[in-house]
Amino acid sequence: MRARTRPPHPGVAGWIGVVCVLLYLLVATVGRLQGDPAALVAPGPEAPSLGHPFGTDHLGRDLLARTAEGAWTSLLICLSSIGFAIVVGVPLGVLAGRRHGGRLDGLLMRAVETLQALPQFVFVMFLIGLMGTADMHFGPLTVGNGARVAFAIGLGFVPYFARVARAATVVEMQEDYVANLRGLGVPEREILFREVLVNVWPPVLGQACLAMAIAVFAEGGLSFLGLGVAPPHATLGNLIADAGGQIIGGDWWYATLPGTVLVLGILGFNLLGDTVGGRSGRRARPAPGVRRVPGRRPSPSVPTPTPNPKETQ
Amino acid sequence: MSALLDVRGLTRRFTLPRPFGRRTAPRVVHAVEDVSFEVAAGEVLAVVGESGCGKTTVARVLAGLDTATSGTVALAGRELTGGRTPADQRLIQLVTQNPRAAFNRRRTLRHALDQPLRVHGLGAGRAERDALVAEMVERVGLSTEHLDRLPGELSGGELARLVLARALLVRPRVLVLDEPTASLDASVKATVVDLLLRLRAESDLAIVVITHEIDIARRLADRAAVMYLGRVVELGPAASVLARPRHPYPRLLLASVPVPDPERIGPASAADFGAGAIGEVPSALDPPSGCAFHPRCALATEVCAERRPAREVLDDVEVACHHPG
Repeated sequence: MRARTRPPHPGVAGWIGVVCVLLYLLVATVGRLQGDPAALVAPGPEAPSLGHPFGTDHLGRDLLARTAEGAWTSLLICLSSIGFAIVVGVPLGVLAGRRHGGRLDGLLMRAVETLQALPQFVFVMFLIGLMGTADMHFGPLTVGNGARVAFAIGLGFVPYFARVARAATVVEMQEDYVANLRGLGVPEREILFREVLVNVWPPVLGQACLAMAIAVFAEGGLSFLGLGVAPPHATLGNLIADAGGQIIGGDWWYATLPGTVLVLGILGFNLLGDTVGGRSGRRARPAPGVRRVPGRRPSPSVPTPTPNPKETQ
Repeated sequence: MSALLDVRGLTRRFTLPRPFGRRTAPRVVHAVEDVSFEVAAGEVLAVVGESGCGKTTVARVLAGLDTATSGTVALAGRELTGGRTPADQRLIQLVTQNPRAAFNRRRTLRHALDQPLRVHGLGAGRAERDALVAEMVERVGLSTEHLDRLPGELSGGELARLVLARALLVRPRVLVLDEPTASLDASVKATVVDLLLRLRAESDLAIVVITHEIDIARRLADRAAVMYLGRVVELGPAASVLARPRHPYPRLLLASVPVPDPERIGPASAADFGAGAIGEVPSALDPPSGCAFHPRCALATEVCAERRPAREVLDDVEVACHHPG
């Protein structure tokens, strides 16, 4: 068996996820070519037509351009929040997982649990409440609302990534190769961040996709509530909020089309995350030579590794 | 020959955590008790014993992966403690049991073999390190094309040889092999044993082979130590210890090795095996008084339960027994 490891087969749900994400990205990118989201192109609400595929809103602005703008903003905010959460959470998790049950592990995990005591969405709302929705000025640096929403959502995700990274690290540290590297005199920092981290990435990336879905949802929810990026800047959430008042007038497209794009994003990233996390999170069985040092409890928080079929060839 | 590796009174105890809320004395696992041996350069010492007798703990302490509770490990007259500097760490190399688990499964073997050289500053520059790696890979009978693969793409035998290559690259003085053949099938086992024999002939490494396979020990070792419940019960030339042991435990151990008999066909029956061990191996949590082997020993008398036998030199072997045969 010399074949290169095959890329994981996504399965039906995975393919649906891929299609949904692609459609969402298509709206967020190609849709932006539709024109200026703030320009008034019609006298009032107009149903979808060839010129305006998503119709226009109550002020006569092109809805496709606005939806694209919203999806794009949402994508930027979500990607940067997840990026922030990974950059902060994964090193914390790896450090905590280095010595399972150690002092640093206890300290970091209790801190993370404190953050998690509040439901994530409530925690993010609380953070935004603290920071306000107006632009902040730090000397020459202006922090816009979008950056703060990204920061708040990202901070809410730090515990999530810290836990995933910790669980994977705890499992990795018991592998023979870690003892081997120590025996060779490889410094601990290099073992953690150049060897163990490579094996912590796959589950983290799977979780990142799932987190994307939650982040798209959270960003939409926040701007729906008026806590996100403020109008006139379009986001999927504030488009849907604006549309709420228009539904009675029979303007079905106004809430439905941006809503569909939001659903595509949430559903797509969710299914994709399930696929990526479920496949590449699988790991080789621990070696039979791995010894638990007596006195160390088996860890309840560590996922049971599934056997790798390659091992039994 | 003066000893290169000198182990004196090595003891490792693991303290179990107390059950929550109970004020009992902590329970202690006596993994290794007062183990002493020497290995000269160019010599192979086999450490033999059944599972759980402390062999692997000895290996881990030797390699600096674990710290001894008491006792010393000295290399060429210099004592090596638990927390070693990287420069000391490379002097004693441990080869662990399972070659499949010994490499990071997402890193190429080129990375795995280059890394220790880079860490220790052996070989100036990438090109020189590449040359050193290539030379070593050929020395263990593989070609450089194996290097650009991931560990999962190679066979167990190839990996076993690459683990050895990696350990040898850092130019150790002592090689500790923990069950080098336990996870390999028969044909691969033979190539690994041949490779070890060749290494012994070519270099002046001191080699400690930890194994439960008596035939492997016989083939490789100059001297042998037999361990039982954390203690060395017999130590001496392999030709004596693994052929005509004086202590009843190694005698029992040798008697339980099945002897191939080409005349016989069909399944074995219980009657084929002589008097086996009496009872189970006692727990290392609560080792028996006196001689640890006395509850299972056919020759045991009262003194065995009362007093721990001292190590005596009989002819050329050291034996810890009140009634050596």
